Amino acid sequence: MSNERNLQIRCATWTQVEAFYTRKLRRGNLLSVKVGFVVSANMPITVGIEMPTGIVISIDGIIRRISDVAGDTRTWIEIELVGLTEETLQRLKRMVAQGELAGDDEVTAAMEIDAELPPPAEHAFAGVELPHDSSEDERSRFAALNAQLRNFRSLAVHELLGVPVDASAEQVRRGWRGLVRQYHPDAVARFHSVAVTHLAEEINILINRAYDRMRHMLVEQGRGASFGSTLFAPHGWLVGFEDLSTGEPSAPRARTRSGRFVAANFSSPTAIAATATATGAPVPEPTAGHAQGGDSFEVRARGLLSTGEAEAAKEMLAMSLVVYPRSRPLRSLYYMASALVAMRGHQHVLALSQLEAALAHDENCREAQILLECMQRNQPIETKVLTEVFGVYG
Amino acid sequence: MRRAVGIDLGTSNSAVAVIDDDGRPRILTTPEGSTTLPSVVWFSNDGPKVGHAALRGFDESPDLTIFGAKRLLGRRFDHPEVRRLARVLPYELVAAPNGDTWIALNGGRTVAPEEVSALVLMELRAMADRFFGEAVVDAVITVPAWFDAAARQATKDAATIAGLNVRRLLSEPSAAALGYGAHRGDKRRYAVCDLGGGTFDVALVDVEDGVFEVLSTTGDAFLGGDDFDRVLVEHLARDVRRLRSYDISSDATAVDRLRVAAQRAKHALSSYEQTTIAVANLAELPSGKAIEYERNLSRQELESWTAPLLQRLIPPCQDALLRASRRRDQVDQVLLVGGMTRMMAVQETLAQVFGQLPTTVPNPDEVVAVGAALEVARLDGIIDGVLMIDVCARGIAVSIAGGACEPVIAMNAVLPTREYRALLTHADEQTRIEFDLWEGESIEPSQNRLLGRYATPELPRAAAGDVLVVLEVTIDSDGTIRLAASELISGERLMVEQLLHSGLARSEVVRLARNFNEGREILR
Repeated sequence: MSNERNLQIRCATWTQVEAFYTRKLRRGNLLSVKVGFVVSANMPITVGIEMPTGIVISIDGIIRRISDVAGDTRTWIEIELVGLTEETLQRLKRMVAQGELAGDDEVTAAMEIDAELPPPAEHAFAGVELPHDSSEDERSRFAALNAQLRNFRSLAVHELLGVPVDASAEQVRRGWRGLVRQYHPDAVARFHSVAVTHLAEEINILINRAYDRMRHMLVEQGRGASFGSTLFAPHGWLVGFEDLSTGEPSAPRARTRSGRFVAANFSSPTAIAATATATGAPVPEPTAGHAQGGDSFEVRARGLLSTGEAEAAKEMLAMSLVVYPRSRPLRSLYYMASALVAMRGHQHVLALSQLEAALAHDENCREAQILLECMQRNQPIETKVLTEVFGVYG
Repeated sequence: MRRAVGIDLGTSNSAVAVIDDDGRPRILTTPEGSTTLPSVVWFSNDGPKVGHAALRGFDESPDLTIFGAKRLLGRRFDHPEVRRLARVLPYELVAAPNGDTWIALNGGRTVAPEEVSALVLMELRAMADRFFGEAVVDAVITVPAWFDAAARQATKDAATIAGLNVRRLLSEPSAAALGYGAHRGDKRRYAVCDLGGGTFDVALVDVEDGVFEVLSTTGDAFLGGDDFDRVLVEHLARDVRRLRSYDISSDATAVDRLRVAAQRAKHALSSYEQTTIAVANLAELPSGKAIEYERNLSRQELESWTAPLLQRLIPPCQDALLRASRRRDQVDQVLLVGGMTRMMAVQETLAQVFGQLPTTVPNPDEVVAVGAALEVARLDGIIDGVLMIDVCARGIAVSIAGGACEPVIAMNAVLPTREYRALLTHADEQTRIEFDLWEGESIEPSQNRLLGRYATPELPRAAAGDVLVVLEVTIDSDGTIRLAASELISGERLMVEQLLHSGLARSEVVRLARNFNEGREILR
């Protein structure tokens, strides 16, 4: 599931590809570009470098710096290309060497940079262009697909599949099969062209949707069984959802009713950085007056746990772990909260395993030890106990 | 040329195949000379060991020897099956902060199943690197046809960590049919029966004009070659007790020696009517005298002992036919996959169910990997006119602000597909809509699986309900879900922020992949 940004860098010539790694990169893997979309620091971004042949090489990066430009709606960003390995670089160099041998390098324009959201829109085909050096065959295929896509968009589902409106299940299936054979993205994969494959995928989406609509209609009208695939996981493979209907408390799904905890703590970026580097180290003694970054989550969580609000604490801690995934104290607190929730639901096995997990993350976790002892002695864990255990900083 | 491999990432055994320079598929061997690699990772004191080297871990530190990680990929920790597995597995499972299942090692370390699978993939990749003498970048990896989005994503993440770029996730029955050369025939319907080390899978695959379509899948997740071994060892141990009045069942070494001998006998009985089991030094009596054990075993005995297991092969086959609403005479060919299908009685049982003799090959445990390698050739255009049709194993739904789930994409929709849903603001001046994405068919969120929580920030300010956001959900040919949103009035594209996710975070995958590239241990 990608919702991160994509930055497409189109290199029309091999000289541009070479310029990308010889001149555009600072300190090996820092790339500065001007972009027209809103970004935030430390946001992951995928940089796709499109070769003159149409092949796109994707490199994962993280946005390190952002600076606004006066009088320009665009923003300068500095991307650390974490995914640029020696292997990728060698590959680029090899391709440039081979490409220049082929001698198709005449134009030396500036690199075109355009940014777009990764998923192509309904009208996105307009933005897809063929690279300058595409073959005649590829060009004509592109034009044909483009025309077909426009055509398909204007047709009703049965027209698209080429069947009468009251077609039988077998007719619908045959019509769909014929189109899929012609337009499946894999059927044009031999062109090695991103633009052509993309168009084919868009067309295929229309065909499949038409097929699904027709199938659905046939079933509704009672003129066909649910034909097509029926995939079921065999018993024992853990894809069933049977557990959820029994009314057991649901997973530690990390849901929160509001974003207030996050909002309260994003105010100080330095605190976030400091805590992020300090993970694994002994926790500094948190105090109410010194509530910043991960510490502030910890104080809040302890406050909630000491008053017995385990569920709220668990939600909040799950949220905090999204921000500080590697913080040991937060993790062990999370598992303790999870254990308390499980105990309330009388799921003792789950509770035990959660407490053990808390200890596994922080073996000196006094609170988890106490709770575990209580459980082993079959002693009920009342709010009084929790206040004693967690209320030190309250 | 960019080298690519086909990988069969199995529950108990994995295999890797390539297309050689002569254009033929070739299965690769481990340094030990075996064509399959046990999908086992032992986190020993001197670093993780994978495959045959990890088998020793079962004796030395069973709690650090991870097997069957495929079962845990993309699974929720609180699922009853995971809870049940957690009680029987020698290693310990813990819940990840987002509800996924992780594995606890010693010293408070945890690993995600993705990382364990990544280690297996790295070993397979190393086999291919050695074969080609250069680094392999691309791979086609096979997954069960019914793997849902989370499990597919987890498989892809594992590959990324191992430094492999996944060109396609291929469903195992399609891969097996391809490995059998089904693309060369005309219209046929196949029943693919895969009895491997730990699981039994049945699928009906339709091949018409080179278009492959999986019609139905069923199976038994706890029936495989290991169960046959266990039954055999139980009977032999009883025999030892009767003959020598000594119970070896508590002696792990003796049981292990007996298992090795039993396995060898089981393999021999696939080609011979009779074989001899001989263990020179089975165990030591308290007196210090060694127990020797020798007996003849006939195929008939083996078949009568394992009869209850053989009976369990029948229901999944009938179920697969029923679900595709096909009769057994509508199946043109029965294909056998997995080493256990070499056993004559297995073939006979399946022949009875389908009313015809199954087709066999000499290497049924390599055929899925070979199919994956052929898929590489297909994507490169070397094999023309063959298409693999995939459907989405579970529906996709969306909910806003904890409300009811609204189905977006139906279960069994043909991929690639795209559907739209409109979301609207419910408060004045609301500049941000948060929504959850679910996998499942119910309108009740608690009965579905959360894939992630997203937000569209920076909406224009207006009265409640005046701002409409069109959300588009695309599932591409690979089963990967992509989201995009636009504002209805202006048509302007909106950013979609990811707040929560199932599986590993993208940044985590990148970090782990980098660690591997730099040769560091991938443990946290």
